[in-house]
Amino acid sequence: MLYTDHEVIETMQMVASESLDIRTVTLGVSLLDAPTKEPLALARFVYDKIMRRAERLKDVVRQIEGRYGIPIVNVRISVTPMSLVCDGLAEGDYLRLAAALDKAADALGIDYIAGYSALVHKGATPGDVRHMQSIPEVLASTRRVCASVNVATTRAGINMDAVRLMGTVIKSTAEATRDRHGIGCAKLVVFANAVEDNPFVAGAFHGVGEPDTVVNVGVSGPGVVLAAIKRLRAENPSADCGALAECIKRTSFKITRAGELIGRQVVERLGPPVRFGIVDLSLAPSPVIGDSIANILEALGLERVGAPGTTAALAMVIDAVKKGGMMATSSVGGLSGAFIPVSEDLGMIDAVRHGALTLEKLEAMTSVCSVGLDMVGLPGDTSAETLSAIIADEMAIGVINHKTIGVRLLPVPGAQVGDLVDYGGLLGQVPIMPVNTMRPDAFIHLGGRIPAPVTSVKN
Amino acid sequence: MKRLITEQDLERLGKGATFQVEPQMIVTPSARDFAAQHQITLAYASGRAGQTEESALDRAIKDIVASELGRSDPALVEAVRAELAHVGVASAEPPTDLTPVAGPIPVPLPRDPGGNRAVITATGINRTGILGRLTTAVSKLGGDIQDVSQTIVAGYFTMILVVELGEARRTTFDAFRAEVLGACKELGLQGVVMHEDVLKAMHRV
Repeated sequence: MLYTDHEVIETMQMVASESLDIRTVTLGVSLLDAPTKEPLALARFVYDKIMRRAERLKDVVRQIEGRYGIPIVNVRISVTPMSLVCDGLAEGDYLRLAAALDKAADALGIDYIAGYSALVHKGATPGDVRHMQSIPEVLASTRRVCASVNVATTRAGINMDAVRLMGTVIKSTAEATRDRHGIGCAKLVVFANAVEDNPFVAGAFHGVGEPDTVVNVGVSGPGVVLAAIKRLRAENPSADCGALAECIKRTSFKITRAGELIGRQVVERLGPPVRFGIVDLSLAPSPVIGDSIANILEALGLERVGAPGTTAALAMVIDAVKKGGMMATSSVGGLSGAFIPVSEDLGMIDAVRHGALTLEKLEAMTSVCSVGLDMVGLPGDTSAETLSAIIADEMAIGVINHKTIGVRLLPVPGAQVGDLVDYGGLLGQVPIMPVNTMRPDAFIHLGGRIPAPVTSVKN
Repeated sequence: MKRLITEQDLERLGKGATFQVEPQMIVTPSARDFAAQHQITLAYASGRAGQTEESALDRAIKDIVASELGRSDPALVEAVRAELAHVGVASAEPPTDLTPVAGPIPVPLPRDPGGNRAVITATGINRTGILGRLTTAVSKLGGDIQDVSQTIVAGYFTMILVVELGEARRTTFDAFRAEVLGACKELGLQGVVMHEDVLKAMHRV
């Protein structure tokens, strides 16, 4: 036999019953070659270039899906941070450019286009400020555009003025989309150490160090990892942490290889100038039963995610995922950690509703391998200062630990602790979590920059 | 649904007989060989308007171009058609028989990289003759079975077939998969068809 029965059947089961999929194929498109700053012409250029580069993307992805029999869940586009493309334009023109992005995504049948972004970790230009101030209106008036702002890096420290501003931007975005439970905030991420090749929307953008057009792939497979852990524990009840980590590592290797195969095939079919970028070795859940990170942690012996031990278990799982993945591909990139969008993981929602999982525990998880506070629902009366302070805490974790952290907070207008807000589809259901009510206002109003940490000096 | 004419259908006829090929029939390569060996004449239904033949050929060209290029390209379709007409293929034989036409198509089309093997797993309750019927179905689709294995998974009988699709320009992997899954369903089996590259990527370093 060319392959052992075991190999064939394992692969078959991964696809058929364990939700093995490629979570996202994201086409990064550079807009730095815009030949003009005249707003109308610039908007037309942005639209045309995206259409030109991504014209065949969906068709090609569908073909590859058919050929290899592995589902590709999301097809998305990221572009050069729009604050760079738009810098120098007047306030109203930012909306025009965002509308061009929206229109391109719509014409291509792509659900989200990311890159309405700014990089202000050390300071903001007047253009960056106009960009950040335009975010609420952009997110309210477009359907598919996603925004992100990088406010901190390990090298530069934390731009606390930007942190403060983003608190009010999030608040205004929630208000601007109040009729849809503040859904605009689901399309807005605040980052520390943002990466240039992240394939995962909403936080994706096409960095300035990237070539013209690249394909970045996000692999996933919590369902496959969960099944592997369960199988090992059933076969060998005395399997210890080392054995479990080894099992996860092997599984991750296989998932990643599949991801790289798919990504390279997409690139080959799209042809030049599209180049293969990276594989993001993340575990990302989906609102499908069994495709949950919470369930993985629970399969390791925690009564419910959020219990003491959760942080250690998560660290072990994701570290093993990375080790297997790094052996499988030389093109590791993106965030490569654990995505824990609370609303998109049935196990996480359950844990919040049972009071097992708190904001503070989620924060602790971001200090090891979780890539941030993601899709965390907060009461509608949470103040902008509190939002900024939550962001500041996360930024500090990212900056000190040399890791990428994203914050996507949803202060749902009118919602109270305990409510369950349904966004439908991929975004899932958001349980509203309690927030510490002690006020951080004076600290947030200090402004300025938290200097880069001692660990930033490596030379 | 087109009817597939296989060797067996022609075996019933005597030497020197004539077989009437209707427009809704597809004659397999082995059946054509058999016919040639036994002096059986394959008579194609006459009286069809040139229009119909052209559009069937056009469709076949379009399918091939779409599967190779990943998009429709009217200009290329036209080029291939013109080239075929030039080498006298378009009029040589009705296109309902989708066997290769006059050697390779003389237009350089991008080829799929690597091999083109499918791995089929079919799970169900073991019944007499089930493997034979599945392999026959795969062969009829033009697949060359290179390896067969049987095992029991969670109490269910599971067959694993490694099938070489060869150049298989005429069928996309997608279409092949759909046909095999259909055949599995008819046999009461649950089938999964994967491209070999996936297994190679996952299990071979």
